[in-house]
Amino acid sequence: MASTTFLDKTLLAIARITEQSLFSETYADRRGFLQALDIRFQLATFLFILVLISFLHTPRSLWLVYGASVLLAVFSRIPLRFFLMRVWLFVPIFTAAIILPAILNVVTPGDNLWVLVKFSHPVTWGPYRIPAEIAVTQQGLRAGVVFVSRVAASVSFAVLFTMTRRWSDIFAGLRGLFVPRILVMTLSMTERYLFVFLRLIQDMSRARKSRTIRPFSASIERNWIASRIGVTFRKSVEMSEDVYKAMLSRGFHGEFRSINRFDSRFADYLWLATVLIAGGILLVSERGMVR
Amino acid sequence: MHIPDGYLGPATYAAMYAVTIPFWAVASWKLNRTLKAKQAPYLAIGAAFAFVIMMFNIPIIGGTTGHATGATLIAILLGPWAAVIAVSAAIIIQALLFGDGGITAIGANCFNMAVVGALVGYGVYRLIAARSGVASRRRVAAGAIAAYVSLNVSALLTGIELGLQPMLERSASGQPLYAPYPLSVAVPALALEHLLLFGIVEAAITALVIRYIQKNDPDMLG
Repeated sequence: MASTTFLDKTLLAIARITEQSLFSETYADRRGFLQALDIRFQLATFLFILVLISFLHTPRSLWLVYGASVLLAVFSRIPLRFFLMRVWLFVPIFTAAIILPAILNVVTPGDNLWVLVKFSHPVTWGPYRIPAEIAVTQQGLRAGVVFVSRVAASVSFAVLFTMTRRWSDIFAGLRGLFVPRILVMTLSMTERYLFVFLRLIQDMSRARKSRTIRPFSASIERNWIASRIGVTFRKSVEMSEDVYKAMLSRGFHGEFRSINRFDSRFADYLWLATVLIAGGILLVSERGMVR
Repeated sequence: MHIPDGYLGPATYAAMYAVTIPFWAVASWKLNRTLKAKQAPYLAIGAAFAFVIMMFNIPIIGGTTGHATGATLIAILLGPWAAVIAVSAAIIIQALLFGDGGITAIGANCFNMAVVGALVGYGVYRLIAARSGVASRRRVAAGAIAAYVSLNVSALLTGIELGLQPMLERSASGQPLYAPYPLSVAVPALALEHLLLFGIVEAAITALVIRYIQKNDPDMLG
């Protein structure tokens, strides 16, 4: 006998997406530093920063970049506790958990720092070798710190980006950065219809849960889920026809025009120059080219 | 299977963008010829459908639940090239708006899940389904096998990309800079969970949805 856990999880997943959407609208409307930038400049500089993070090799540089993201969050009037929780509760902690075995000499050989377990002799099995002493290595620990720092810095900027801009602005920014119009139009429409489908699934799941007195077998529940996916697909095909006809009736001929007007100011160019110069200095100084 | 930012080095994520862009270009070209002005609403709603498939949790064993990625199912329902774009759009939205999967890793994630998921899945489905009737059981089996194979190929590629990092990207003192596990760990770790669990969930959902559509809307499988 199956429980209704699968319905609860479906409803919870939908609620999380709706919550994220609401938060992004709330903070994007505040009068903060990042919110005031021209979206094209923010998009371009954040992409540059994400690429820069991937080129950095030392924890010091990565934490400097991470620190910059925290400062930007403060100047953009994002509640700090909320921001730190959003960043750390997901990817970095998950990453820290999966990196743990990699700090041991089983994965990253090197100079032992702390011996955890001792065996009588090493064991070799195909490509796998378990040494006589399992220990945390200096090299493993350093690799782990660099990895988690990199992920934390990247996630921090990605979260900051989604929290400071309305989703419609992000798509407009992509258009301003010469991303093909058809792709931007598709992404923008996807975001809109996503919530129509989420509402549909939410209604179906709630209706099912409210009718459930005694859960059915897992097999019957799986068939019900499959039928809901089928129904969602049929509705999506019908909707695409209706939307296309509605677009045609409004004079659409296959060309996409945008009503967005971008307004770049001196501050945007100053921000761009600051990010490029600071990033360049950080990269060059890390590689030891500036003494 | 979504690779986050920081797991792949610049050489790998740049190469994955370079590999994926031609597939997007071919898919756009083919869809432009067949769908013309209709393509934006058709693909957008296909992408929204690709996104929401992952919302459906199904009961597995005991209290555990799982969800499908749906790439093969969408390829069977919309066609392989529409699926490449629809699943890619869903992945891009997940990365840009929800922070699910890295922005630098969009190329790799789209290749693994959208390109391989859709093309391998559709290829295997057509191969097994051959000229069988729309209502035949062979189609259901074909969908299940195709979904299982394509998800496992996607997982294998993800494992290879992650497992290559310690070989490709090391510091001057020899430490890994990105995903630290070698191929001998990354590939079995990803392959095993998909061979034994997620692949079976994907196959089951794909088969059940095809069976439902056979009974209720057989024209959609035409």
